[in-house]
Amino acid sequence: MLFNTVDFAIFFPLVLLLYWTVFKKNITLQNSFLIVVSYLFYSFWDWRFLSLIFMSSLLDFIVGYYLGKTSNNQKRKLLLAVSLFFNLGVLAVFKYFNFFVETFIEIFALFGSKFESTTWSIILPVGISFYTFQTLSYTIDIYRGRILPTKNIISFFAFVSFFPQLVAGPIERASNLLSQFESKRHFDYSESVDGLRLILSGLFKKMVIADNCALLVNAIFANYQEASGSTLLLGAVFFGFQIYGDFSGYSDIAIGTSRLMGFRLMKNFHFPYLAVNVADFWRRWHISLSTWFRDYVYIPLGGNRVSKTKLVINIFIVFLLSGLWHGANLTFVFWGFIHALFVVPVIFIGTNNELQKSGYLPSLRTIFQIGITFIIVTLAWVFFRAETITDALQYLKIIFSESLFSVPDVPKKIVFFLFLYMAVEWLQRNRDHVLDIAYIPSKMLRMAIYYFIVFLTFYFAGDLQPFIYFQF
Amino acid sequence: MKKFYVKIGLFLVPVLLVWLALEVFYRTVETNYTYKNKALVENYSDIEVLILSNSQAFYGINPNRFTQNAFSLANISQTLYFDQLLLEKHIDSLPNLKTIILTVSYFTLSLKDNTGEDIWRKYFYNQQMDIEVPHISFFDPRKYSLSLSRKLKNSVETFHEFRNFGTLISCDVKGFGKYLKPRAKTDTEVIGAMIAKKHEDYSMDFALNQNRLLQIIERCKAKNIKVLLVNTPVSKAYYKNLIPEKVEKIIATCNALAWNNANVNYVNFWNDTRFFDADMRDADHLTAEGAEKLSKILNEVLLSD
Repeated sequence: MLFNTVDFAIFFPLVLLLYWTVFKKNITLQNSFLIVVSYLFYSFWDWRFLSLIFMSSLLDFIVGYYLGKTSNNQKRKLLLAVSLFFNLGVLAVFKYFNFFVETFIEIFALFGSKFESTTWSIILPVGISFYTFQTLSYTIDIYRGRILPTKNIISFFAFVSFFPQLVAGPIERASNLLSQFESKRHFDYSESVDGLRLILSGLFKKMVIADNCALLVNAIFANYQEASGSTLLLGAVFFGFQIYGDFSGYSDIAIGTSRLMGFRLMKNFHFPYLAVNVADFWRRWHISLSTWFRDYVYIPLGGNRVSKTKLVINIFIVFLLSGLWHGANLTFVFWGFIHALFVVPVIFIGTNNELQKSGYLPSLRTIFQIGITFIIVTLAWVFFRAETITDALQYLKIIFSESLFSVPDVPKKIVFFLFLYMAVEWLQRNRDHVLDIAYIPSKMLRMAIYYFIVFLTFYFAGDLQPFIYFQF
Repeated sequence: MKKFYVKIGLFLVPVLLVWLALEVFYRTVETNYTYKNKALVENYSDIEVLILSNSQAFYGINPNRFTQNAFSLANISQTLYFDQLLLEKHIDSLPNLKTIILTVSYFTLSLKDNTGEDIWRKYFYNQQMDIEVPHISFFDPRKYSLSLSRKLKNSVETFHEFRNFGTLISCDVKGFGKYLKPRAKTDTEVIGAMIAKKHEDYSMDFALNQNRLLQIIERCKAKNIKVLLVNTPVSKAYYKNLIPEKVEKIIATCNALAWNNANVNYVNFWNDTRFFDADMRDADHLTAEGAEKLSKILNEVLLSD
């Protein structure tokens, strides 16, 4: 079930109504209800993979329980290994099996050894990378003594399967979300109104920005060999906006729907295309994943308190893994590599600045920094979107040809519209989200803005496209 | 909580009113679907030739030019999937049906189910032509609300069309398509290349639709009905922008169907010297005069068969 469908527009209000009325009085009942509707929500894609979520939840609950019971280091390590082995094993089988087999065959082929390719046709369960990382963080945090294990299996199952963020995040931590399942939720009027604002802005980002860009991107990338450099450059820009509208739109809706049920999910995006350097971009883009890698990979590797050589290696490890997390293809790994390449100098030179906070207009320096970062991120997206590295390199080769200076074959009004949208983001940059307009004193003006966005969303909606991040 | 629900309810009132108005519009105004469905049922016993398929048949094959009593059930963007569903629904009620005509467009055989315009048109077939569409789930809300099946922009455009022309029906009593809008002045080379690109799906996988065609042929064979497969004329610019291998495969597939089934005949007008670009309204649709020319030729084919 997609957030931007009529099905969800019927499903969610019904869930919300029952949640705050029939199940309001008993927290266990309310959590049980959330498990049922979350499993139902997931079953709209493929009910067969519910068993994976169930097994992952059960195993990590048991591992967490016994981790809390024992102080024996050996046993604790063994328990953590079981959790890691199961969750990463599931990921390895369902997501990476074919990729590893093909990569090994290619590597051996370089040395003259030939192997028969035996890849399987494996369906990738929706959201597998998100919920496995979420449950893993639970057992790792207990192992490290950062949180105590829960004794409430209902709360834990609800935490893992919570439908707003089950299939595409934000990847939550038990310290933030699980505790919310264990305490009584209260309906908060202003939180709920802000939740609705987030849902509206999320729908706008997805249906207007992402779905309209998707049509152009699909056409440009399908025939990139025949397009001019300028068209391909804008194709990459459109893809940047497609993936941003798509993913941040999903996150906004997830956070908004959760707020309506009395939950506060972590922020996942914060105006990423206003980043002043690539390191800043990663503080604003898919925050729940970048902080996950920071806490569970980068810091255990030594973080910043290591030699310069080790620091560079650590940064590359994190970004390569982050790339691989996105998909079983070398293009994603290369995408991570490019980001690492631009993050390293930022950290070493110490230009890890933050965005200008005051003023209606950006300074020339800020424009330059945002522009350079945007170009780097946009060109890196080519690897993310391309089928193969060869395709991506070919695509970039055409961009940097004479035809870069020709008139691009794309609708100009979309470029203007995206520019306008970025101007709105700039004005809202110090707010919580792009539609955080609670500060506007006039109620009439606020209502007019809401209706205007509702109109834009319905009127200019592109053709329904699946959310890109579901495939991860 | 109560205050929240009341405010949400009030906020949604204008949105719901727009939805309701569009729903009433779609439910009350006659369309090609309702009109053709009604006309077909009224003429069940007279119809001898039934024309199916997409806009190339809708605008390109004129049932009024046939010696036998012909009716066009073709419609814009109608796929083989719906041709089969329509045929299955009506075939037993057409006692005098002797021939069905199916156009095989460049994209007909490689088209995937439930894509493109089928995503919203399927609800209109379901609601306005009264056919059970397997792709629509019982729980799909759009099964019960036509306005939800279309984007607001398209609904507003349809409403404007109704206001401008006073009707949404764009066919005559025999189901032959009439152009409501004037011909757009565009470069034939540009439009030919553009439409060819739009129709290109880079797929040579015909299995699904070939099997569907075979099922239609078998069904007709059992009822002693002939099937005429037609590649309707297209502009030179359009034709030259198609992938030659795919064109060859389409022709070979149609030839094989005609060769292997006694009730199938096949005519290809894609590169036919009797048709010129002047017969074309755009890249792949004939003008009314072009349609007259094609229909007369097809009539002769039927009479000589």
